Amino acid sequence: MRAIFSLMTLVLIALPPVAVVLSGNALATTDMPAQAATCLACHSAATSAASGAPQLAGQQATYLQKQLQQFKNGQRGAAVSDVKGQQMAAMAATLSADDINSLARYFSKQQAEVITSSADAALLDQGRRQYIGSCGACHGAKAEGNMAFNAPALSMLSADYITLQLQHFKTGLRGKDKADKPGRQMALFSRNLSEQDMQAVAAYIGAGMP
Amino acid sequence: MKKTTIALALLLPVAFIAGQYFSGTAQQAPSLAADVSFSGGAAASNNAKKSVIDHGEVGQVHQVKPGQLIMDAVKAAQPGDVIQVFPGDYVETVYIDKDNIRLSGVIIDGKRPRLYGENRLNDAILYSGNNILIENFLITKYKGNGIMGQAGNNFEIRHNIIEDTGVYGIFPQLGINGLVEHNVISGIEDAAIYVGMSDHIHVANNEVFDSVAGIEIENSRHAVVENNFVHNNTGGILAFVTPGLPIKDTVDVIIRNNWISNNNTANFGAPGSMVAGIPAGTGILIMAADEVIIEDNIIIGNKTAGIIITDHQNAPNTTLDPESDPTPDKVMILNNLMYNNGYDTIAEAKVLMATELKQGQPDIIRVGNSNNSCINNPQQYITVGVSKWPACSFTNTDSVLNYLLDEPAAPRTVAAEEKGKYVYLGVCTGCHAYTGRLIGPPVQVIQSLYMDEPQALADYILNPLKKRDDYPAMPKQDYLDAETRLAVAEYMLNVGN
Amino acid sequence: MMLYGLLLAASLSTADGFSLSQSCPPSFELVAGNQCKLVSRYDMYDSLQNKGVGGTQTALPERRDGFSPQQIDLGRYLFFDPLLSGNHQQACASCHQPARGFADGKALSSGANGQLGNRSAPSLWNVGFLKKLFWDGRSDTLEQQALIPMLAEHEMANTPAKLLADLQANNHYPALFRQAFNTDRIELPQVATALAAFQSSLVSLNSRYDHYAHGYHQALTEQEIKGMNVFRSFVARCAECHTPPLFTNQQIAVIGTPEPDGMPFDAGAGVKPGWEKLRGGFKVPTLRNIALTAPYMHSGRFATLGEATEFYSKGRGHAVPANEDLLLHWHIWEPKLTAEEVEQITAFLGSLTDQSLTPQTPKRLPSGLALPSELHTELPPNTATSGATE
Repeated sequence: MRAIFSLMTLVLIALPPVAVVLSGNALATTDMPAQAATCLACHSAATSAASGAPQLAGQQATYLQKQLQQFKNGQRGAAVSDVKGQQMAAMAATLSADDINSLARYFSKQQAEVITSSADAALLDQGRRQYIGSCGACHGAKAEGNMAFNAPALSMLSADYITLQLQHFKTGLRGKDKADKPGRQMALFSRNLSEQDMQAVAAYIGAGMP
Repeated sequence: MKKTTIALALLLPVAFIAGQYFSGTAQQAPSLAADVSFSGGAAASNNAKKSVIDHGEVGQVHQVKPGQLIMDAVKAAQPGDVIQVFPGDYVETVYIDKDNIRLSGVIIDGKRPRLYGENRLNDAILYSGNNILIENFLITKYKGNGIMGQAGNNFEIRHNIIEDTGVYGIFPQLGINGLVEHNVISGIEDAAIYVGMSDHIHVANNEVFDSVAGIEIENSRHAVVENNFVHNNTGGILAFVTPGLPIKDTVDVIIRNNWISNNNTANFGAPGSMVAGIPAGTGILIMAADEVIIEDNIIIGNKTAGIIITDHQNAPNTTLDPESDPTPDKVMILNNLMYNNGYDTIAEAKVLMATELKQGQPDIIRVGNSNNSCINNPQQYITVGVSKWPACSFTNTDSVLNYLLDEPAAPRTVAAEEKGKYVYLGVCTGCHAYTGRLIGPPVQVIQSLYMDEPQALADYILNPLKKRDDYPAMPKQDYLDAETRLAVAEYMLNVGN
Repeated sequence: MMLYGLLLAASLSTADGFSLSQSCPPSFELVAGNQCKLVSRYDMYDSLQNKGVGGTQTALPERRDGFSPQQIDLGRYLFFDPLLSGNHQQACASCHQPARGFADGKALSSGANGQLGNRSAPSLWNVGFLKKLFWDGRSDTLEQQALIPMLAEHEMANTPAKLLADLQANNHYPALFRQAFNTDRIELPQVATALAAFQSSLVSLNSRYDHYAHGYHQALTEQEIKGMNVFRSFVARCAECHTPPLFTNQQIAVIGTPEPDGMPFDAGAGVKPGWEKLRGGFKVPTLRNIALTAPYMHSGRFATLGEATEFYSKGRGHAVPANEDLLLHWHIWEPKLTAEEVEQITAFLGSLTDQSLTPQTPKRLPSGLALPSELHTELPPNTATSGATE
């Protein structure tokens, strides 16, 4: 565990701060890895709603890297019931370790586009309490993520995606592997959440945390 | 010490002679607890040395020599350690707020370490820990107390000489199971030995003189005061209830085999103090205390009276406490040798004697109410106020060796889990709610973050790092020891709501 | 700091209405029967005859707890709500302000109608442990005590009828009382119980002194330790009545402090039949959080802790009026404390500050009334958990 942690510290130091602001919403094409265009077919701001795939822009590189590795080695997206996960696992299988590193680094430097969905005011209120009361302690006041806890950014994610992942954590599709400590932490926490709690907090984040 | 030895030699035969049985002519004689028989049996030695401390394994020995501070050794000491203090002068206040410390003077060529207060320092030794032993010191010229205990249990204070030191020579307060023996104490403005609000106490073989009060048993229960040489004080031995204290009574005190003589010193107690009201020349004073047995003492030459029994209403200087019973009940006077007392008694005593048409020098004076008290062989004393007391139903207390506990009062042993719970609820919950944000993150989140790593959490709280921009930094919990930190971490990670 | 005080999940006050907390306050454990029981590190220790007085490691006295979370939370709303006073101007918290150690910083407190009272508002910290309430100890229970200032002419100046009518007519209180007491009709004893429940949660046992007492001796500075030793010495004798762990032995003591200029002599506890010998006597107050609750003594006569400490060194009975013959407490004597010792004691008293369990002041009140203006003060930063500064 210690070794992994210090490795991550190294990665962190090597990286510039997350969320580098680029001009406009356009994704910078310089240094864009070849496979990135494929990813964006589903993972861009414009396509993510239809595909159900999360926006990757602005996500922490270490998180992206780890998820891709997990998809590739079968720790994530292997279950039959996880249809979307299976699709992603198939994609990840085609990536080399170097591909994964450069893709992760690339997307982490891009700026996410804010997409907001609307929701019932009472649900949002409940979600806000839930978020501030619990989630924000690790994922940050603005859902920007906190590397100190290996907590990914959530702000660019859609309500549907967050709900689905919370369900996956709770039902054991994610966060089961012994070595995946952050995943296990999230899985443990998700068991405190009712279906209603999940809907509420996902709605709140999906709505841009009003 | 020589005087004490003489006193004992004289007292012992008396103890044997006194073993006659008086069948109960009494209707009202107090009956004692069924499991304790006072009706005889072979007298066991009262001088059996008894330790009240279970020291366990002996720790480190710290030696303190002149020029060094005893307090430095106390600070360095761990429970179980012995602090040896070598002969010489030590000008300091020693305070012991830890358990199981032996503070032991080393006597070489008859010279003992002297704690010297220069009439400037307050108290010589203060302790609040359990299992504290203090021995072989010479203590003088402090303004407060020689040795003062605050809620320490299982204490042994012995072989000390305390001279001309402030208010009390030895003052254990609010403790359970303590031994005060073989001390020589003189020149004290209040009491040479003052047992205050304590239970299961043994005061034996001390010499106390030239003080306002010799030995006081105040708001305490289950005490034996025996084989002491109590002379030339204003009052000799006092068992009483002071009103207005949180412990409200004095019950079950045996005063036996003491030599109580010539306690005629003019009262030099501080104005307003309880003892300032004691008439000079009082051998034994019982005020509002219950179940006091006075047995086989030699009480001679106390000019006001050998024994005075009073309630609060009749005591000068005394306030009333609505929660304290002001009446001395079940006072039991067995055989004592009383001689030449009351030869210069107070006016109140003379008035009382006149009402009983008595003359002479009173050995025993009772004023105010007293219920269910008794006296054996009253004809041997000149008395006032006890003529209606029946004989007691027993003649001696030989079956009671002492009232010390068979097992030392254990410092409550707390299971680690319980300890964790106390700290979790007592400290952590101030900032961490189970769910929801209080000052720090919710416990549920902490449980997820630390899952199966209580030690990592225990380490974190010792030296927290700020990890969240929008939360205040957590203060170090370095005041918790390592065991407690782990206990609370484990408790926190498993708590359910 | 106020931001951090928001306990968002536990205490819901939604836009629609008010709802009571289902969790116990910090330091309280929810046990069977929906009762909140206080848990403290002092529970690790014993005390002689369970009286809760002694030295450093001594158990606490018996305490009032076992109220439900809902009763405690309802009490919190009531405590801060000026609806409880006759003219809706004054709340309990007006004289017992969280930011001022649950006292009001005044020598003498004033009532809802502006009348000046004759005594200083006592701190409510640790009041759940007390067996006698009011300066003169005339009440035995928090419930009994709670109603007296509310109905006193010179204090909150309400009447039972008006109080109950106001509560019953309110939009929120009937529902809140239903949550707390399962009742359709608000009654006076319920008001008293809720206020008692809330006050029992005002616990301060986590000061730097407590860290010392539990064995971490670095928690106090050298100066503070010197002060502690003078405090418990038999020269100053402070600890004989201000006995740890609560720093009160809960007795009535006649010490003979002066009244403020122009005020008549206050006989204190001595007015109670059978207590005549306690004329001029007052309950020994706790010294916890004492640094926050100036001015001092029953009449607020002393502005600083230094002045209050010096009083004891100025001679037995020096301030007793010539025509009064008081049975002064035997520990009032002539300790002749040096200026240095007074400073040391004062420093030590500062180590008894801990406000870590200060309850949240409601943002909105069920009555719809505004929080009294005197409560718009922010709490000074808590000093409980910070280490000794040497």
